[in-house]
Amino acid sequence: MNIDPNKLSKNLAKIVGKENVFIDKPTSLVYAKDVMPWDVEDYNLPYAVVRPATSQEVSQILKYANEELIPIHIHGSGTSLIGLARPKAKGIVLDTARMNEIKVFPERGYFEVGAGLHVAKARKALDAYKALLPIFPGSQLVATVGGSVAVNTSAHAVDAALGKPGDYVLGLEAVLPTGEIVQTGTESMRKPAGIELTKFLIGSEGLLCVLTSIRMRLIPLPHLENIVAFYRSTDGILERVMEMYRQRVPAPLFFEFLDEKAAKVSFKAVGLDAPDGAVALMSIHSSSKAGCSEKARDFLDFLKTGNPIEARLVKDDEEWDKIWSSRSEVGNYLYRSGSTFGSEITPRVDKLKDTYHEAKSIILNLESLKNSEFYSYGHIGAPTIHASAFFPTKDIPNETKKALVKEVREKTEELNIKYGGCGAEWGLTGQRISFIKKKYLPSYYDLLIKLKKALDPNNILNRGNLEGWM
Amino acid sequence: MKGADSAKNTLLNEIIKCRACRFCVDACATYQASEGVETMSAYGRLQSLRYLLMGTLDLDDSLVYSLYSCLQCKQCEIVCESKGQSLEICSIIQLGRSLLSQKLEKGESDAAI
Amino acid sequence: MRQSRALISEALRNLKNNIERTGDPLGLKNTYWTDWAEGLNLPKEGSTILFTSRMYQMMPYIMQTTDLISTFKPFLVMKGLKKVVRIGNRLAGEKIIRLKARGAKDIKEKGAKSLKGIVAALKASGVDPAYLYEAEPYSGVLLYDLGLDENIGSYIKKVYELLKKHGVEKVIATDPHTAYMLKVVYPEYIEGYDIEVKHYLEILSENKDSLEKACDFIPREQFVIHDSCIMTRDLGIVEQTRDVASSLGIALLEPENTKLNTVCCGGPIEYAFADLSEKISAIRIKELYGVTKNIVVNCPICLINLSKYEKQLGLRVLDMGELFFEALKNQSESIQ
Repeated sequence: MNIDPNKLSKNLAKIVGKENVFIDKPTSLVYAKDVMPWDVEDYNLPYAVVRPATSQEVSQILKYANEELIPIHIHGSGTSLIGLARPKAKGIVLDTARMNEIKVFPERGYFEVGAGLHVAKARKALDAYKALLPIFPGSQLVATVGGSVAVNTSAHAVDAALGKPGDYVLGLEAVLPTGEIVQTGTESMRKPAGIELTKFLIGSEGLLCVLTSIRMRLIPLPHLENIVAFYRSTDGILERVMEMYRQRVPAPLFFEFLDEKAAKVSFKAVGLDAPDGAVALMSIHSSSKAGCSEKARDFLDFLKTGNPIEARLVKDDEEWDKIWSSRSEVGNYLYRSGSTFGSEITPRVDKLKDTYHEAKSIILNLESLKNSEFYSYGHIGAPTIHASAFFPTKDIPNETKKALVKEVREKTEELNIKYGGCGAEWGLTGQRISFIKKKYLPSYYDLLIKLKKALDPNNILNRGNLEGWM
Repeated sequence: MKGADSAKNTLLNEIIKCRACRFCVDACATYQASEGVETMSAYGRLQSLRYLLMGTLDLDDSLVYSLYSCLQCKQCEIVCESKGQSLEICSIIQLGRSLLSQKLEKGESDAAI
Repeated sequence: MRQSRALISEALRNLKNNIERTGDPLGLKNTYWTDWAEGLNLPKEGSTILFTSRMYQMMPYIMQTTDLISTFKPFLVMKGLKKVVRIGNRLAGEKIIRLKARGAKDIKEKGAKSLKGIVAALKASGVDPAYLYEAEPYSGVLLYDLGLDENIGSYIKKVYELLKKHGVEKVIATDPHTAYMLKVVYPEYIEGYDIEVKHYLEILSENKDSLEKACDFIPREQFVIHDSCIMTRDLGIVEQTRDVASSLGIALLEPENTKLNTVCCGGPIEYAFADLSEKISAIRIKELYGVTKNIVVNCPICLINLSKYEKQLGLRVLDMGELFFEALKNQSESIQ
């Protein structure tokens, strides 16, 4: 395909204005790069970055792309952990950042938000209405609402307590790959039953549409009480999670943990004394203050039956902020001096302990590069095991990095298959294609391809992600 | 060119610590003022500088605009530190400028360092 | 973005040439930086000196030059740009410069008032600094920021030697950029750097009581503080600003992003990227006047960048020095 960048720039400028089209190499590079640790190559670099402000502009861009058969890669925040953000075929990057308005309608019980608004900014806007944004990615400073709904990520939240962002979506404004603008869902407080298009587009990972605006329910901010618990080993925490589900103890909104090694690194990094053993952090939520206190007391009693070293409520906000940040930033404290390669394992809850130990063994016995260290931390109560390989150096060749990601991904996904899980946070395309092919059989993948072809006959949107290209 | 070489290596060794988490992007005043163009951020500037030093990018108008529009206000460093990476972003950009300013001032068209 | 390379190359060349020719970043020949001190009879020698690095005094001439460039905007093609910058330079070489740019005269007055106010406040706190008058050098901060590394080392040594020659042991900087240069950067280039450097706010906050006694008016207005980013994040001077204001009877209001989270006014890139700089300052000014219409700054660059909204939005943007000036004139009315 021979693209004349100047002609492309002129045609796109007719749609969005010339100040919103970029054909210079630095801009292409900055938008193409994602968090994957290997360098950007020429085939990742788009011919242009285009920045529409409305669904009408998106529609015209997609129509043009279909006419010229130029791939479009959708850019929200670029923070996908399975490589969805990096373009895999030269084309145009569509940046959603200018679609960032949020309108709150208290009398209607919902709000509408542009897909490109950063989650932290959306949360701040809703705070003013004492309303909850049910989206909790760790990357919220830069993650977009559109990306969060397109992947339908539970991220930090425990599904049993909150559900997924998509559960709160009443309707969408989206542009189909061939350029049609669709409005889906409802403006009522009752979501449609039956075969309704919203369900097909939520979680569609940028393959079936470009989300431009999302309508979500307004729900009140819950009361929160925070608990920290120290167990002699990670096993103690794993057992509590399994028991929690077995006994149907109401799950906390957040149930995080740091394993023995990670806890020492992260606690010291925030200026706290290194703890003995593994650490669990929980936020209990309730719509009523009294209910919250009772729930927290009950949960604390429940934790204590598991023989912790210590388990207590943390009433002081400053102390909680510190403890919480040791968990939320632990990845960075580890990344800082080396390289890590993570995984997302969500086993059947009664198999949590077995899965954890098998994951640890996989990480400690990688073939692509020897001598990895094992760290584990994350939303263990959800349950998710983010087992991570850690190498104390950044000096690893690009090809080895790719091999490591592949190996960690494939081997840990075997545990998802073995123990009945499917992940919950990062999506199912990109680096996870080989997994879903194995888990759900080839006919499932063929069905996805059929669906993709039905809506995107020219394979314009996010080409390469459904194929599983790196 | 010994000084330039060691500066180049220092820069590459420092910038590799940036893992492109993009948390600094929203904090930058130039990003807010440009309606959210990612080159106008610490992440954008560091990666542009890195790929310039690696020879992938040229010292063109876009790159000069990116590197010399940094306000040196350190707002990004506050976020980077709170997220555990603690890159000395302003010093890196300032060192990058010192490598490039000599070239620009002399009007050299060769971009390679 | 277009022609950024040509623009920056030209700016770097001009800066380097100006400094080499005259020791002044604007290349101005007349000693414009001493006008404010006429009649003050500050001692010309002393172990403790006030160091302005000409920052406040430069403001009206910068305004004059950028004003000139903006009138040529429609003609900004490659040749035109270079021509305009050369015209600006020729202007800079003239002995007498008529400040024709709108607002340039006002800025000159504000700058002079600020410096006079700072001196008055220091005196009220019991500190009597000397001032080098014509001998006062420029700190070289622009050379450093823009990475003109080849030149900055020798420049810093020259300034240091000059200060030593005048017997200077302690420097009181009147703006954060100068304080940063002399406190943090100079020691990187001078082994055994032995000059004590403080920003005037540090000294005033150490002597709050004497300052409070000397002021006998309390303004009726409320003021919102815009912290300079260098002041807070580079120098760590945060509470001193509040303390000193309270000794003037002012309880400063805080804007949305304040103290260590203050947002840049956009000033540092105004010389090259005026459009972007303006958008940055527009965002910040909105945050500020959302609190109140009276804004206080503690940096001359913030002053010039934000005060251009005074007429447009009906605001008042004052330097802390201007507040001292009024407070120590023994006025009992509010600031006119």
